[in-house]
Amino acid sequence: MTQPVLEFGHIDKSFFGAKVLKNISFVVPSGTIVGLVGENGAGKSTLMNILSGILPADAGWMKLNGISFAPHRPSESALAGIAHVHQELNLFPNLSAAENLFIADFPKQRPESLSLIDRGSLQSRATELLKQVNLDVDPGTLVEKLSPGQKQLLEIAKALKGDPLVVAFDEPTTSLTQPEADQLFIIIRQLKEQGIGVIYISHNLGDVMRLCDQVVVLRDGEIQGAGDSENFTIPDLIQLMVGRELETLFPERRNAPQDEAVIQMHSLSQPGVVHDVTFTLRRGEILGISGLMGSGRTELARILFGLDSYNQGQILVEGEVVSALAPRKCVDLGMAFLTEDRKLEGLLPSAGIVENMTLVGLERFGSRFLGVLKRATLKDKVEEVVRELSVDYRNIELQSVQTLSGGNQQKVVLGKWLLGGSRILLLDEPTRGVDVGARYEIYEKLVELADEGVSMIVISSDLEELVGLCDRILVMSRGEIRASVDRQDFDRKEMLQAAFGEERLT
Amino acid sequence: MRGNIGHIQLFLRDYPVLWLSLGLVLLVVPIRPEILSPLNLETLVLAVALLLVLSLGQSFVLITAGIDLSLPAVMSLASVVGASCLAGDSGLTGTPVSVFTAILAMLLIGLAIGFLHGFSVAYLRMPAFLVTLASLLWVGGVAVWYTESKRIPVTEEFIQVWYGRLLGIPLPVWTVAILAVLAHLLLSNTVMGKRLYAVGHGLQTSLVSGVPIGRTIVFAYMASGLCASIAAVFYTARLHTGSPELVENEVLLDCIGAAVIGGTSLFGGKGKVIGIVMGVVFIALVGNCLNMLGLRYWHVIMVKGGVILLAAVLDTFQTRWSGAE
Repeated sequence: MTQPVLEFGHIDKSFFGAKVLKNISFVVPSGTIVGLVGENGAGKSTLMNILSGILPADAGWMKLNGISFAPHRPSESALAGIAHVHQELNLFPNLSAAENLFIADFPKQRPESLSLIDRGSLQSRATELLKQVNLDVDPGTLVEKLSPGQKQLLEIAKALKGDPLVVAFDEPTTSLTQPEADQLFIIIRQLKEQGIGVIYISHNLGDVMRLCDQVVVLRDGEIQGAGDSENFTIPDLIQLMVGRELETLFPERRNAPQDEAVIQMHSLSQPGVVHDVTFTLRRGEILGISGLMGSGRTELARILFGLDSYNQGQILVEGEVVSALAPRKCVDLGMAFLTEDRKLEGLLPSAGIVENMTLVGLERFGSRFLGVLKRATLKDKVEEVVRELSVDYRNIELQSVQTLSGGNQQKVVLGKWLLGGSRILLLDEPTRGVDVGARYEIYEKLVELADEGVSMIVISSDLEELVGLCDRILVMSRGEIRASVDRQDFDRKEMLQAAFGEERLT
Repeated sequence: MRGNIGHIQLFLRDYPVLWLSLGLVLLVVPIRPEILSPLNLETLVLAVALLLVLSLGQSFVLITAGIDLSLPAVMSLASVVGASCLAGDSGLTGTPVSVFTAILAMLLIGLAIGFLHGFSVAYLRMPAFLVTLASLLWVGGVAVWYTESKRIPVTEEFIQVWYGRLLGIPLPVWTVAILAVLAHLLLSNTVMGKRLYAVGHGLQTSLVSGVPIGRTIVFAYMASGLCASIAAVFYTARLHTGSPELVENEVLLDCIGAAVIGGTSLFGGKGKVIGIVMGVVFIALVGNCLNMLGLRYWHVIMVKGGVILLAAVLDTFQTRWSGAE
């Protein structure tokens, strides 16, 4: 038996009378990876905030290496040996990797009073830390030049700087591709070998099952289940998390895609981005595009929506050749683009639900002359779509959408396009940062739409999602389509190989 | 009933400028009761009308997260061109038709310069600040060059635009009131209005959502130019003369300040006509009260500058806070 490095005992916490944590007790043994799962709002973040000294607990205790531990501020927690690796990276893109590592305590030259940075020591200590996380870049590299995966590793190196006893990861893989995530898992397992206790928070249950030795499931601030992960299956976890039975995460299709082509792309090329891409999207089809980050999958969607240009090839929408694509024209053609950057390209974050939802279809509610809005019709229609998508909100007009959870935000973006009458959806990472319950609701809606004849292209880093949802999957690598696989032939291993570009499938 | 009270509370919270204005009046009345005299009130209302036209135009641009610094120059150019239309020897001089053509020419100048601004910002992707600041210089320069620095007197008929009354209320007050109502309807109740806010809230999101960004931005700057022209008509009539230096550049700070004090955000996406009206009333009150108290010009602009700075600070913090949520 390994020693417990961190113990939580009967932790309670309320905000304004609402209990968000109830009697939380569990143990993180040294050299063990504990997965902490639960829907958004289940209490994971609050628990981590208590651990890091941002919030005090109302009742209960924590012990670190058997000694009572009650940090009053983050620096105290860090000094005691608790490190956090956050979902949103806290890195300065304009500084080098080494400077980012030591931003809070640069090694100084003597005499210290001059505050001159000891560049030599900075370089050597940074090199050593980078080696620990298998990050093979020069410490002088600017962070903006690193890939998302490399940034995540750098963030871990930063966490390891203080020789932590416990490292807590909060959704570390959201912006990573599968190989980058695999690389990350190797590092996390190394931490485990060194006897560090690891807390791993993620919505990606596949990752949790693969990585973690133990799991703790939270719902509404209570532990619903805990134990060795081999005693749980993913459906078990989901049921514990959402508290209701989900037959499967992916709903069944009722209608098969029709034969009629909605989008045809012929030999589309743009140097350095995509090369000779040809495919057809049929009516009512859910077409997945898989591939690593930088494989050209997002870029292809941006070209198709007229945001980026191409220099060769032809695009047909509903059988008509279209040239000089622009977002406005695409919207008129009935296309929709749910981008991967929800904050910057999907939402007006400080505006309300009504304002966001009517952005695309606004003209339909304006009079022909002067564009005077029929406000009542407009609000009714928004309320109808909001109900259909079961968006959770307090005030449909005044509440800014940035205060909604990730899942509800994504529903608003989807609703905006549905209200605009879109029949061809380009969905880039439709469930990023969306919790399990909302994810299921989004899948359900997408399948329902496809059954009604809406066509969609789904781009995702999550192969499980594509396999569960799509009629057909295209695998992209280095700007080319390497494989096109029909539903009955879905094979995760082959598709991954194609994504890596090791083998060309026919 | 409850709902109504809630609305009133929200209103007072959203527009602290209402309290400020009230406080200011209460402060000054005991010292200078004549502030409430009919004569002073009319002066005040006319000052409000003049500033409101400019502030409304400016707000269209501010809502799209832009700024229009060219207003004083546009007004000057419109003023001298309008005056020279009246003075022209076309046989129409002295008739109502000449007044009409002069006003039309003035409005067209505002629209044309506004179009140039909008085009530069929307299609050439130039910073609004730079484009309109450059116009403040070159358009102003053109006005001086055109008149060789001379003032051009205007006809009696034209002056009626400012001094005329309908049902006892000055014509400019009518005009501006109608304009404010139209602006309110446009912003709150039309497709274009919603697009102005959307563009200011999130340019990238608007682009991806198929909002015609170019047209929307051009519209905002043309509206601003048009409002500058309307203000120029009134100023020119009031001064009985077309002048290449029609107003002090301080007017610019007044109209931006009034908008910001009234809740329009310098970061775009926020602003309502009702708030702008209150902001304008406050700025006009500050000027009027300080004058009544016998303070010097520089005292007045110091206080105004300070108040506007404070409003900008509040705006910044509010935007940050709501962004951090």
